[in-house]
Amino acid sequence: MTNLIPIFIYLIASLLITRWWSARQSKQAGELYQDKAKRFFIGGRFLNGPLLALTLVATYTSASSFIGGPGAAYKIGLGWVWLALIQVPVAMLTLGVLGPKLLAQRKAEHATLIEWLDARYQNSWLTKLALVSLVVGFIAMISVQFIGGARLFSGVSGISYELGLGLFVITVLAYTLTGGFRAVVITDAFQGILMIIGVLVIFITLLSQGGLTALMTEVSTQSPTLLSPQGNSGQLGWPMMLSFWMLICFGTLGLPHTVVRLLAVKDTNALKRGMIWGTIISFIMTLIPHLSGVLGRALYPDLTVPDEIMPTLITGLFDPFWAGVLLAAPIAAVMSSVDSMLLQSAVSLVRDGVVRCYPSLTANSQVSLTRVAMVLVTLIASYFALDPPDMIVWLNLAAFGALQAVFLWPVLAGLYWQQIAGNAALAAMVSGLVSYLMLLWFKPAMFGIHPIVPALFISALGMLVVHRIVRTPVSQKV
Amino acid sequence: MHLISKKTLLLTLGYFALWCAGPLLLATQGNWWGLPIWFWFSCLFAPLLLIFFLILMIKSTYHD
Repeated sequence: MTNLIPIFIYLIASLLITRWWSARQSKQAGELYQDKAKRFFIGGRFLNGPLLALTLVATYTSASSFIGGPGAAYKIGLGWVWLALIQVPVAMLTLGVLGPKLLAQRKAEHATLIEWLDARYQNSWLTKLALVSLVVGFIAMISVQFIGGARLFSGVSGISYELGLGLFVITVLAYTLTGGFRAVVITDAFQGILMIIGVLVIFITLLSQGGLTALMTEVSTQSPTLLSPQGNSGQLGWPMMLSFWMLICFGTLGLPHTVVRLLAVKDTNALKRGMIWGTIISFIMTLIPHLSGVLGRALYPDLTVPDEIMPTLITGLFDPFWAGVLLAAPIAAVMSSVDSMLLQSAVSLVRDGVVRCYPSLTANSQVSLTRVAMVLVTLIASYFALDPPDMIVWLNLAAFGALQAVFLWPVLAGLYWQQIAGNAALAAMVSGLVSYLMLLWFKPAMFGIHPIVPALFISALGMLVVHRIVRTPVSQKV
Repeated sequence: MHLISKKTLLLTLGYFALWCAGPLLLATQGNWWGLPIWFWFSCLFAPLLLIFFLILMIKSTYHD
């Protein structure tokens, strides 16, 4: 339990620092400063290059990158590290492909992705489905983050999983209830810096335990297939690897919590600098924790729950005080994702749900209601986190895929294809989500291809077919 | 489509090709410092090359 003292000191200090920083920046903000609700939801166009890169990567780097990913690398070997490196171009791709188009629409001042989708397609069913999918998908992903956070707390301090979950949930609420989008972004940036320092310290200390060659020789002695690109027992075939390019690289163009950051970018040069910094940080934050998972096998070959490798490395390589300090790095990774998803789901519920029914709701009431929604979403996600699976990486990827199946084509077509109307985008959402869930549920033989690939294909097909059907009568009339 | 968007897609495809090339072409080339050559190529050389070309691309379009 004493291991938790440094981490709580860090969490309180970082909360105070980031709130002070955020309040200082708010006072210097531009025209949005007078609108309390918008200031809370989107914070104005304040994201410069490094801040954009840090918040984007910190949001994307979650429990899976720090707990589930290294856990899978521990079990499967270097093949999983290779697979994880698919996500290196994610920041570059998101900012480079979506950024210029969304930046060109900055005058509209949309506060959420759903607000943008509604303005673009003007289809109430599409807006409703987008809202429900976003909230349900985020609850699942928040639940995964809670499991990761609870495992970290209990793994390092020896407290029970349930107590760890309770402590983590209280911490998350303290962070999200005390600030809006701007505070969340600044927390992400602060925690992103800490994450990078933390993983480097853990990795260098790990390498000092005999060196890279000796550690890898020990791993190879345990099982030479741990060095194979196809994984320890050949579980990573080419169809699966290639479909992961869709799931964790191209498909991320449709993730709502990353797209929303583009609504707050300062200018084109901030976007370009964000692309460089985002790719560098993404590379470090993917390679080092995953490779640590494989190398950790040399020191701890008998873990029954692979997800415990990072907490085990931290407690095994450092004395209790420093283990507590270093625990801040993975906690930061989990926190920076969960705060963004919690804020986005609560803001969407209020802004795109309640305000639509009661447009006269004051800015103060909107902010208060958002806080109530945050508590509600937290409680639901905590309930689902009470009975966790051994490896959280698959649960996270399932929710990840569902959000992509709903949002990818409507977002891309909304930006790049002016002729696509609301009903065609709605068809993409419905066909993508239904096919993804059915393939995930019934698990038909697909030769190792992940369900996201056929689901996105069906989603695109649904959009094109409806577009064609709807467009024909219009052109005949003309 | 913006020039930067096209170049971003091209860079991603280039990275994809290099990422695939390691296990396809270098899987039997042995180890260096305990790690297989394919791993050094696909997991270190390919991302570093991506970052290098990205910096070049951004430098050529900065302040456009």
